[in-house]
Amino acid sequence: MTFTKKSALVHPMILDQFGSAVPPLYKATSFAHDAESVSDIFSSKKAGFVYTRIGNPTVMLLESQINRLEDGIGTVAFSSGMAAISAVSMLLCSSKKEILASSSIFGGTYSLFINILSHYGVKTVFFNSTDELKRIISDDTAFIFAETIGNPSMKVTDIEELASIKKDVPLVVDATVTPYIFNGKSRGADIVVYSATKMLSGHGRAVGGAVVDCGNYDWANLRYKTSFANYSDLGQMAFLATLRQLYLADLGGCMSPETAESILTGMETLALRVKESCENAEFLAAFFEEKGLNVNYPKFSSYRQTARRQFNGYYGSILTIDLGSREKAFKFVDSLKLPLDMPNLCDTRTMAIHAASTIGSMLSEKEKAASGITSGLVRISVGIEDKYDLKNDFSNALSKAKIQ
Amino acid sequence: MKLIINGKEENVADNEQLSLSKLLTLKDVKFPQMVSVQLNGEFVKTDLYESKILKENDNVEFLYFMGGGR
Repeated sequence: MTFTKKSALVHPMILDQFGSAVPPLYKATSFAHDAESVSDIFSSKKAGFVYTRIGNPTVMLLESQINRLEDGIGTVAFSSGMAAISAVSMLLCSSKKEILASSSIFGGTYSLFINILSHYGVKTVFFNSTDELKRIISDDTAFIFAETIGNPSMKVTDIEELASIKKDVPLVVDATVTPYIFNGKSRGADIVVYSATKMLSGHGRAVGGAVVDCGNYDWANLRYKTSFANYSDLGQMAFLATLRQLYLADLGGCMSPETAESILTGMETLALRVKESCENAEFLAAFFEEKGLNVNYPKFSSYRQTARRQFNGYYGSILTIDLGSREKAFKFVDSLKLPLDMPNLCDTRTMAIHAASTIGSMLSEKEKAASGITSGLVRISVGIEDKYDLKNDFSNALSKAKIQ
Repeated sequence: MKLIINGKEENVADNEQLSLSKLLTLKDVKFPQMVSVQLNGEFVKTDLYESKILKENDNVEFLYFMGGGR
């Protein structure tokens, strides 16, 4: 019998000798076995846990839950979303190769590509449309990178369209802000990456990341044979094996068992939170529209159709409003009672932040303009509070900032 | 039914059709996402574990990839 994902999220596949109803927390750094078993585990003849940097039962349970959510063939958890993206990038790239990335991606990822990977001879080329991507894709392309919804550009990337033209290049999709409402595997993504700190967790108490292999890509493709080192003969599992055994184990960005347990707790309510946050965001975006403000939200932009199709009738939980100037934006944010001014996304709590002076502060003026970060832009990540409380609070803040 | 599992001959209960998926359960493979499976020398995609029915003398290799610490 197969259950829906909504039910699966509440019931992880717990294997516990005492019948624990909730994920047990295994804090051990190492696991002891008899000599033959340890030898078999080291030589990959037998499954088992030996060292938490490579695998841990609590972390594995989280990996299994994220994998069920994505219908993947396997998932590897990392210490953060950036650790996850870094590991995937380093695995798939080599000197003189190119990353083709959708424009206006998250600042941390942008910096990884431009400031770090360039140092190792990897070039990143940004594309604005699928036509542009078609022109620049080549034998030197290591992978294509896109976010389901750009932050803070609110640009919705049509993943199916990218998948249809990507040829034999892996498509890596950051779905951090759209878990549950977006399924990468069915849309043609090869790898899905997450900052689990955001919507997956939702409670703001854990930093983590994950990489899911959707099973769509044939890793027998010779272009990656050298990257897979000793694991190239593992067929469909070659990517996952290399990722875990080399890029998790040796770069060391492993998730702690405590973090995994915390994120697992958050994931139990994921389906409810995503729905509530998205509905609240729609309500508030409509309110700001009625007020005549410059609102950027997929439901009210040129991405409406793509978003509705790709996110199963939802439009995400983040929106931006342009208040015209830094001064007005500061006054507005400081006048809010419920929303918090902090740099996180997709939490139960609504957050509002002035983009140019915070999340976009590392960008040049030209890069800010390209990312849609104007001097008065405020990013609002909508939580699960009462929508009328939020509307009244935002309305008061607009009055105090003398915007309405 | 006689199968060769990781190089060793084993008799596996076959009261009904034995799928690769069921064999993973019988062999107590708790985390299928940590194993690559070869059937008679050919890798089997995870999507096909349910539908792949085993027969007498099939050679099954479970290749795990969660190795040790240092």
